[in-house]
Amino acid sequence: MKFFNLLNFFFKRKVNSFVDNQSFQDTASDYFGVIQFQHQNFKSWKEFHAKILSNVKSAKGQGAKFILFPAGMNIELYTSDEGTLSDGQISKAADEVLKIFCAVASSENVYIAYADLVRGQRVFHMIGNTGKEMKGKIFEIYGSIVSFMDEDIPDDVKVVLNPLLLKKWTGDYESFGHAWLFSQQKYVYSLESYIVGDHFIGQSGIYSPIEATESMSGIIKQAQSKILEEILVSHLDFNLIDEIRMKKDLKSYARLLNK
Amino acid sequence: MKIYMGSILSSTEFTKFDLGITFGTEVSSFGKWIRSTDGGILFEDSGFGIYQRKWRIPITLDEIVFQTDLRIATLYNEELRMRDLLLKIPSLKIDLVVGYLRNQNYNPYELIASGWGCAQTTGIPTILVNVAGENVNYSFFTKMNEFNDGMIVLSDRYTMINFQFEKKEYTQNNKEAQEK
Repeated sequence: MKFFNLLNFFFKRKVNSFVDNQSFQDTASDYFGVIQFQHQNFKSWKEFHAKILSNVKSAKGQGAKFILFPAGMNIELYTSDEGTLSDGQISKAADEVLKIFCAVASSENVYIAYADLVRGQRVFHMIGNTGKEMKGKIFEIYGSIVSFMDEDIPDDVKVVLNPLLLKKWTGDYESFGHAWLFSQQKYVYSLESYIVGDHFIGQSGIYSPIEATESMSGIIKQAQSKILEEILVSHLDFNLIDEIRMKKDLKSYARLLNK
Repeated sequence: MKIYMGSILSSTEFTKFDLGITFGTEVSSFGKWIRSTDGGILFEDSGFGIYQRKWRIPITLDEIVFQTDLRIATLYNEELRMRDLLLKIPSLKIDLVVGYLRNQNYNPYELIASGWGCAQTTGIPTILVNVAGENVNYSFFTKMNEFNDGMIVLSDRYTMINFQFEKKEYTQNNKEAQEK
């Protein structure tokens, strides 16, 4: 745990200064955002809608055209514990959340991804900038292939998404490493988003292979806090990923791996 | 099982161990040693070479395995970060991974990505020999759980660990299943 704190300290000094100094003018379409969402137990779906809209506007204000929300967005509309809800009530909340995200994506002209949590399982949603849910396992967004984090992602995927929900009593080092490690082992960008506050904890981030960052950390942006709301936005350079993959000579191992 | 990691000269500080892991020296010593070099990796028993792997893309997965008291997989540089390869390692019934990472400058992130990452993905204890410029250091990682973060030894010049390995049964049936 101490070691991860040391890593974070090291990266905050070196990486943030590098990333923050990048211009938003490069190619606006390649800006990806992550919302570290503050758990609030909303009293009504209108309140929830307003909050989502506010988050999206803030991320969009920083240039984001694609925004990842965490897993468990449906629980924000639960009036009581999931265990006491019927399947019909759970399904209704999920439909309401989907409608809200579709309306916001359409009105703000952004892509949005998030996940519901139903009986402990994540149900992923990808919504296009027209406000319609996109079906399938991989998605083409602004010319790059995006997928939710999965072992079976095709080789042409450049960005993986990992919406998560972590209970506070889980070892907090478990909130580090999933997406970052996936970036190191699959040579992709990764976006990880958590619900925080109350009894949830997590540290959202935008990661890349270490070779794609000046400080060789693989951390492009990472939330400063594990309990407070934050919005992270960064430009992702897909040509850089292609260059790194070519240098690594990964194709030479394809025969050995029966690919 | 007691495993020493470090130079053969420093190993005299420790009276008895079951396996030594070292880098580069040509000096042989009594006991069982895994010696990594820039060109490859060897397993020696009292100076006799038993297994050898050159650092190149293997023809078959069998090439990376040393069948000693433990069943050891040997990986180097990029291999330690190839998720698809790492996910195949458990099917080889491996007890321990010994990795070799050569880089120009010490980089803790690369060390963690290669060693800790290998242990998390395979679920198998991993020893990493990291040669950064002129410095050689040794690390030992395990799969993290609710009690520890999986970093048992981090970049020591020499050290000894005492670890209880869960030895896996490797039989002809395993081999046939793996070949299929």
